[in-house]
Amino acid sequence: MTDNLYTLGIDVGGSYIKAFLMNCSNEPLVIDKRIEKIRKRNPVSVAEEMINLLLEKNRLTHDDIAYLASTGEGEMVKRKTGHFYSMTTHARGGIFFNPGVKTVVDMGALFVRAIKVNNFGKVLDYKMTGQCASGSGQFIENITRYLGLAVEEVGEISLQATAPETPSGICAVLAETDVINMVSRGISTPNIVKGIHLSIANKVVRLLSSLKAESPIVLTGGMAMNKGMVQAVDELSKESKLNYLLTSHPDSIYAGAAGAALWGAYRHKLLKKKDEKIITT
Amino acid sequence: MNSQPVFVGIDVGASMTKVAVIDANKNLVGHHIKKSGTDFTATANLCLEASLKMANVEEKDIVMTVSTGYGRKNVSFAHDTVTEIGCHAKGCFHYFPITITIIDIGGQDNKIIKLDESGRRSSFKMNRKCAAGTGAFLEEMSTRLDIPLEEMDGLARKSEDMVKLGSYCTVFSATEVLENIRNGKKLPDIIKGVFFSVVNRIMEMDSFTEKVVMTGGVVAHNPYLVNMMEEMIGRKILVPVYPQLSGAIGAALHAMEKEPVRIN
Repeated sequence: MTDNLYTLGIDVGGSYIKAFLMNCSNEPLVIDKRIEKIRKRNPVSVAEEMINLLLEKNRLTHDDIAYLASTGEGEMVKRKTGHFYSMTTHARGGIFFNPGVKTVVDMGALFVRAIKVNNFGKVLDYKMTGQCASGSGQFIENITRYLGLAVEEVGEISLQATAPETPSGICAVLAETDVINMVSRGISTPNIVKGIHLSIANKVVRLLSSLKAESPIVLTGGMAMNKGMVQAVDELSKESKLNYLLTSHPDSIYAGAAGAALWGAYRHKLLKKKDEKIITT
Repeated sequence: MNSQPVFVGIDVGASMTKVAVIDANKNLVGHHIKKSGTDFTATANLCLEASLKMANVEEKDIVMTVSTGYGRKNVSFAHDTVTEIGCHAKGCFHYFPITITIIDIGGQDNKIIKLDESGRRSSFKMNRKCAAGTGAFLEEMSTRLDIPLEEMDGLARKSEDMVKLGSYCTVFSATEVLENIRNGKKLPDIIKGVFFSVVNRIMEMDSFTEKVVMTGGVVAHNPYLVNMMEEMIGRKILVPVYPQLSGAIGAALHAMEKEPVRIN
């Protein structure tokens, strides 16, 4: 029997916390995963609770975990072994889910990161949106709230659009007025929703073109789960003749957490090697 | 009814509709302010009715009406339209006929208009693509904090130790504000930080070397912003009697200057 090497990645995001449990003794193996919305709770206690639940469910204890790796805003996670930067964990997670991709785009609640990677998940270059929410998942969340929709259904609704109506500005707050006006003008919900998706996708495509991104590109993060979002990015990339080859993965939202678990295993093995060297010499 | 010729200016903003009625001597005799809502035309009509009543005149006494603002094309009874910049400049210069820099903080945009000593525009800047620093920013914060908009000013004045916000974007500032609440920061200190963010966005827009005039609905309801701005530039700032009406008054003054048209 080979020794198990359990690692757990925990990715504390702007809106969700993601936990990913792996066995990395040989080929990395996914054991279990868990996702939870933070809402207005304390992220530290939510993270702690999630880790405990995940361990309990798989009949493990903290002592069985070789490496508990945090990423994102997870620096305050209790009992962690180490912390990894989001850029590296998303890069690693992106190529784990979609081997062979050259660019990983993390579309999260607060910002979008575009990362160029090599075959081993090494970050070659990156760009991210800065001080503005116009390209963020938060934007979609706000709009769905105004329209009385659930975040989970907006993607499907967007796909039904026939004549999307894009908001005049790009500001996530000012778009609210635009949306109210669209509703009163009788624009259908799918057309409004698609317009918002296109407005965000425009930000993403501009980010990709300024990074000189190469295909294939994998979309990760919360917004990558939204089919309407992926379609909007695809449409705009074709329109601007960039013709990116886009992919996604059902577990895309776990890219950061999975990347953390994988890097955790890597660091654990390195440390072990060092220890063995010290013992033998 | 005291029948006398009047001139009407109507400023249909993205969030508020303002009407000013002036007599032949340029005195403000009637005015009304109402939320623009979704039906701009209906709101404009209601505002006109209310301000004519206040001026104690009838619709037939109107010599000329000029509309301005974001929704100026939606005013069915206006004879002509003039840009917001032209109207704000005129409205402010009427009260302060000197070289001035006008800061107008509106519901959805900020304008900085510089006028020379003859009232001619020498420079103009505007922020239109972003809610940061505008009334929409304060509105969003008041909703997130669950505090009525009109209480913000009084609370900000009570601050002893301001909490500075690091975010630029309104959406991210809202998250930051909630985090500060969770960390036990005091409400007045946070609100003063919110006000400071507005002042900062304006300071970033332009230089303020001339006499400064502040106008707009945000200034009318949050005069503490003027005090904070004065502290930043180290000089007194002028504020007209009706800061929210300066665009509408400017439009009415334009109406007076235009070729009179009689409605039959």
